[in-house]
Amino acid sequence: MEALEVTGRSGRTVTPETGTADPHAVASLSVHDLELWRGDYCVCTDLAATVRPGQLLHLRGGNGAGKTSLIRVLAGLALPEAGEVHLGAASARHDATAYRAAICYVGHTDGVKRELTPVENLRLAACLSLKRARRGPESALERVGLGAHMNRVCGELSAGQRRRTALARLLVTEVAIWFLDEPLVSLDRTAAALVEELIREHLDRGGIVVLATHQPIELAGLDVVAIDLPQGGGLC
Amino acid sequence: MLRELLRRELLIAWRRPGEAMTPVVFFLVTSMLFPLGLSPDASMLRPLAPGIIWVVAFLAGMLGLQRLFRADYEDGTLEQLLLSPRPLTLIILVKAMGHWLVTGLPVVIGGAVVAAMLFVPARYIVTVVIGLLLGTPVLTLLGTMVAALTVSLRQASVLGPVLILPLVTPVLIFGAHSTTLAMQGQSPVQAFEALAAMLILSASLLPAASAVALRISHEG
Repeated sequence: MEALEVTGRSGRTVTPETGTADPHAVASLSVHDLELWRGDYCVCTDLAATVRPGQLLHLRGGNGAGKTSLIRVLAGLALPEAGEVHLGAASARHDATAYRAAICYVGHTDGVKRELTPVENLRLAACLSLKRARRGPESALERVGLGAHMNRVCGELSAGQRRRTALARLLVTEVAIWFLDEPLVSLDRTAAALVEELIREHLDRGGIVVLATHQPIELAGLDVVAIDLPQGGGLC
Repeated sequence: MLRELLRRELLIAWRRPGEAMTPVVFFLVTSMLFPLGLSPDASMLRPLAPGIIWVVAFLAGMLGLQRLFRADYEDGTLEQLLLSPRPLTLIILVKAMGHWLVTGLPVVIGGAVVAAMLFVPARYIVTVVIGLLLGTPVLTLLGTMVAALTVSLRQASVLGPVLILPLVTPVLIFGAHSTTLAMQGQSPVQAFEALAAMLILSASLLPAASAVALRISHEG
């Protein structure tokens, strides 16, 4: 597989670890000349990266490094100062509908309504997506270990169980790219292992995962593209 | 998708009854205070009734509007709506419809009670109800746009009413005017037509404007 490259103005280049993904399932995610500021703080300039199907883009950095800001831009939730994000030919900005149809985002906040049950939350998530997965809400909740709680309102669930509900959203939508912002927050070791397993399965199917986390996560054997965001300076 | 989204809005309101009931309770209680504060005399209250009903209905509608997107913003579901490939305009229209069904429709029904309490003659109560039926959805749609604009602002509760006041003025004028005309023995049809025109315009344009406002506000 061709070597991947992530570069910033600082000249930083991160080469990926070795990988084994099927490169034919979806188009590549590419970032061109991305410049991102958060107030007076420069997160990155001239950032370029290409992530191919079966690869994981790992945004690394400590608190305040700009991981969430960057993943929000990559997901199309926020606009950068300059630069473009593409999935194949679809621009996140100009072909937003096509881009959004291909992604699923699990952010810092769970995106789970506390007044609804996990099943009701997932049913809505599936409706908001253009392409539903073969797996239904009940099956997805069983997969993330919430089978016994699927009909309790989420307000009665623990933070970890709500996080699992959010992660189950990934399973009820048939999308190419998962954006995961600190997915391990509030999760116990078993659930964290499950996240790692889900990521592996998605990559094995030729999907792409964009992961922002400062927590240890087992990525051995995966084809990883890494972007290190230094604390206090960014890639500027 | 739209039916599921509407179902979600109604289900959330059903499971948060206190919040859903606040506007109609406010509407009824505040309207009751006017006979106590002004005078229980019918000849004094009757001419003021249309204005009182519409101003209190507007204030009642404002109570819940700040929460329309705020709750979704705080729990992250707004991001899910923004990232959906489905048209955001339709999503917002459905949310506004759900909000009106939960908070506006009870005010329309309560309007009949309040009108009777303020000595509006029984044969004109239907005029009050028709006016509210046409006007309160416009108030909701205007409020939706302002709520979208201010969703990420901490001072939204202050800024919202300031932004919306000039926009709702025509609705309040024509709404109150429809009942006044009827009580003076004139036809309220023209006022209803004006309200209906505002409703059609609002339903056609404001969800799209709210979608743009929501994206700008959220991206900021």
